[in-house]
Amino acid sequence: MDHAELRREIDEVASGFLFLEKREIDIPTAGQFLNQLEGIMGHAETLGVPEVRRLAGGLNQLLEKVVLEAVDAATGFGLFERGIVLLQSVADGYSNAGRFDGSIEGFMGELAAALGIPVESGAGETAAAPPAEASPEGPAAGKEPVRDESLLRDFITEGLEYIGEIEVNILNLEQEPENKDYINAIFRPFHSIKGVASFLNLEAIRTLAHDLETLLDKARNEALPVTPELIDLILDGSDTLKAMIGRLRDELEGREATELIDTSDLVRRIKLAEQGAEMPKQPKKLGTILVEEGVINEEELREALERSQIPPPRKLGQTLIAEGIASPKDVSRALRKQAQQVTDSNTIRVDIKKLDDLIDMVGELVITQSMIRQSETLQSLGDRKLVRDISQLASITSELQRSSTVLRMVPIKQTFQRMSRLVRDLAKNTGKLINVVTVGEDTEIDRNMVDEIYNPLVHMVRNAVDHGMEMPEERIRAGKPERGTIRLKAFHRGGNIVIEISDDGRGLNREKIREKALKNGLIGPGDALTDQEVNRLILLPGFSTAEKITDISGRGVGMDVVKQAVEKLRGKMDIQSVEGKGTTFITGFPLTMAIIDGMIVKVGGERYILPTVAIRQLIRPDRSAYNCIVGEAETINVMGRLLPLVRLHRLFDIEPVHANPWEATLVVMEGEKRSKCLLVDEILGKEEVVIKNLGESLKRIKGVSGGAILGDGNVGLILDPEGLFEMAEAN
Amino acid sequence: MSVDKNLKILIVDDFATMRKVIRNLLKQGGYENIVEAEDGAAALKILKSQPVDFIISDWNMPNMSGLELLKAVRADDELKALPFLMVTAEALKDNVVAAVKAGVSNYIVKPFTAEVLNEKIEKIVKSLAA
Repeated sequence: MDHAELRREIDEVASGFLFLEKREIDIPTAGQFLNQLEGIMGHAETLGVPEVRRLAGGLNQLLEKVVLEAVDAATGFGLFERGIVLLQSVADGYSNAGRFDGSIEGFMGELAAALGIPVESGAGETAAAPPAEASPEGPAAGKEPVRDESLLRDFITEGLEYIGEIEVNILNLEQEPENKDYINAIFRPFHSIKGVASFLNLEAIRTLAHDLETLLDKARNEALPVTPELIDLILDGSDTLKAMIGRLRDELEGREATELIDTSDLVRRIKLAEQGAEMPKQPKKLGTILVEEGVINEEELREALERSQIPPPRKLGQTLIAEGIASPKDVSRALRKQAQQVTDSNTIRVDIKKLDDLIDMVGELVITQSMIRQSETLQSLGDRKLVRDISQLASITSELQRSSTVLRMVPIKQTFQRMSRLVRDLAKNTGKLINVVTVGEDTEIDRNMVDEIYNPLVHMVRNAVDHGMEMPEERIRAGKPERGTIRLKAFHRGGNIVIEISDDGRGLNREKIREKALKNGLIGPGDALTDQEVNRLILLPGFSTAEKITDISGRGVGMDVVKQAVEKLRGKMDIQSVEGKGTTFITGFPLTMAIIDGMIVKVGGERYILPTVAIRQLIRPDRSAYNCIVGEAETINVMGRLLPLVRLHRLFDIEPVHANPWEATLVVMEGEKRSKCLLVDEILGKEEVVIKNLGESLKRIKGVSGGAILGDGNVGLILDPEGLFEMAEAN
Repeated sequence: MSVDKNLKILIVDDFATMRKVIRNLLKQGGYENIVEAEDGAAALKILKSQPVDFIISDWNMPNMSGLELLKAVRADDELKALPFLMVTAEALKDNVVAAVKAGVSNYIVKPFTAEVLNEKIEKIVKSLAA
């Protein structure tokens, strides 16, 4: 590269300019010039021709402004023309005399004035132009508002889908805050929502999406760190957007519009976050707290809020007290709670491994303290203070155990979101139209359970979409809304988390199920089954296999596998269904796999733990209740039902104290579709035990699901009823 | 000279609603011959399989962004002369300049009206005819 070549490059731009059809630089030409000028800048730099470099740089900026319509086209054209001529003379000077005698300062000054920015000075790097947004944002002036209903509907559906996508990716981002792909995957849907919202004149949605997008852009460019607070803020943002779109839908469907969603606070938090300020967690509104506490209901809240607006405006609390809706005590308690939130919002992240270790150690502690408590030596001391202290220790340890188990609890939200995502994907593939509604996302479950329950749940969701939900045409024919709904609901009941998956599809065809079950020999022709029992037939092994081959419209595909998986997690499963209306799968899981409520039984010198959930009753039968037909199994008559007798001592080869059922104790246990009586010597008591894994090599022992350390320090095996039944049946 | 309304236009956007919005606006301008693609990669497939006269593409898309599509089109001997109108959310300097350098025919800022869209198309087509 020499001066002559540089001159040639400049001439190329000049001739391109000369041959322009009109006195106007169109976009493709501007693009060409920009690239050429960039080349010239680089070469001028290497050759040491500062004037050319500055001029070319200035013209480059000018072109950018012209392209962005930030500089009037005619002004731009005139300036560019003069700039090119000047460039040529500078290059001439250098190629002829090795220097330029004139000055470019006059022109540069003009250029700077036209651009409204300081054009780079003689020395230094290219001054970055401030990120000028050329056209004002917001709907174009004088634009006709687009109020196309079908577009709005599309926007609502697709927008909600996008928000679902955002939610999933936010959770991914939370796991890997460094991953730029996730930020991008969140950024893009916000961006798309904003774009369409701007066309549909949904100003509030557009603004919020824009603000969130800006925030994410900063995170993407590493101008902001991805902190849990930032993630919370984005989640709050997407929740609010979701609510706004939901409100739009209500409005469109003619439902009573809910209160306008106030985004001012959220927007303020976003602005603060953008400046990198500390993000205060948003305290819950007073009204929300009162509703949550059950002091008032939402209706009352809304009305009270409206009345609070009537001049002279009052605070919500004042209105509520003045009208006797809430007592001053309730309001002040709620206010205190609200104040606490601000300080309580501090959370820390802990490695799950540390948490697991802690919980394990607490488990050990519980066992050890129970060993101490039962120590005969200590008890024989008869020291009353010691006894009191030990019982104090016991209550503290059990409280400790409770609160440490809670540490590992996480909301079911993420699982639900993954499932919603799955429904959307499946719906797309099958051509069905399905909305997902989730209820009780905040219900908590042991983190270690989350992964375990996912597969069975997925199978049920799949089943609901594949078999429960009808195609849109079929739904319309049945007089149902074209778009079906799948509801995912979670709540706590007893020590369990209950998860319901309901669809409003075609429901179970009981006639067909009965037929199939008859054919497969699962029921006899004369069996009178309740609807509920018919529903449960699809959970039986042997039902689905036949189904799979013949047709897919039935509902039994693989449900037996699901049921087994649920039961392996010590869960329970049920089905409710109304033909034509829909089906609900109800599953209950223990909140944690770490502890089991067990009945300790004794056989010979051994002690075993039976899961209490599987025990129906304990009996000591009359001699007459015992039947033994030669060559057949032994049975016990339990309230009119003949149940097979399973001798635990025989299964485990132990010398029992009592071999006769009328002397021993019988535990009536429920397995899959059958109950049996388990013969044991005696019942020692009920205890919550911490489950210990037996390790890889002992994992597959039939009839035993784990071990636990009992109060006296000895190990007791936890029995698996289904496994025991199978062992008994095999004998 | 008026623009041939039979122009086959390819709309590229990942947001189906957005494609519909653009389609409606185009219809208002009398353009009915429209195909759609949900991202750059899908657009390229269409471009390879059928003749298209005009591309209107969004910037921000998964798989293949509008800019990548533009670069791919301009690098393809058969496609490189195709008019390419880029849709951007705001006239962000970086975006627009990058597209202009990559040879975009013009750009249009969301939200836009049928008139503005029409104007841009006519401007591009006329400058090509000249």
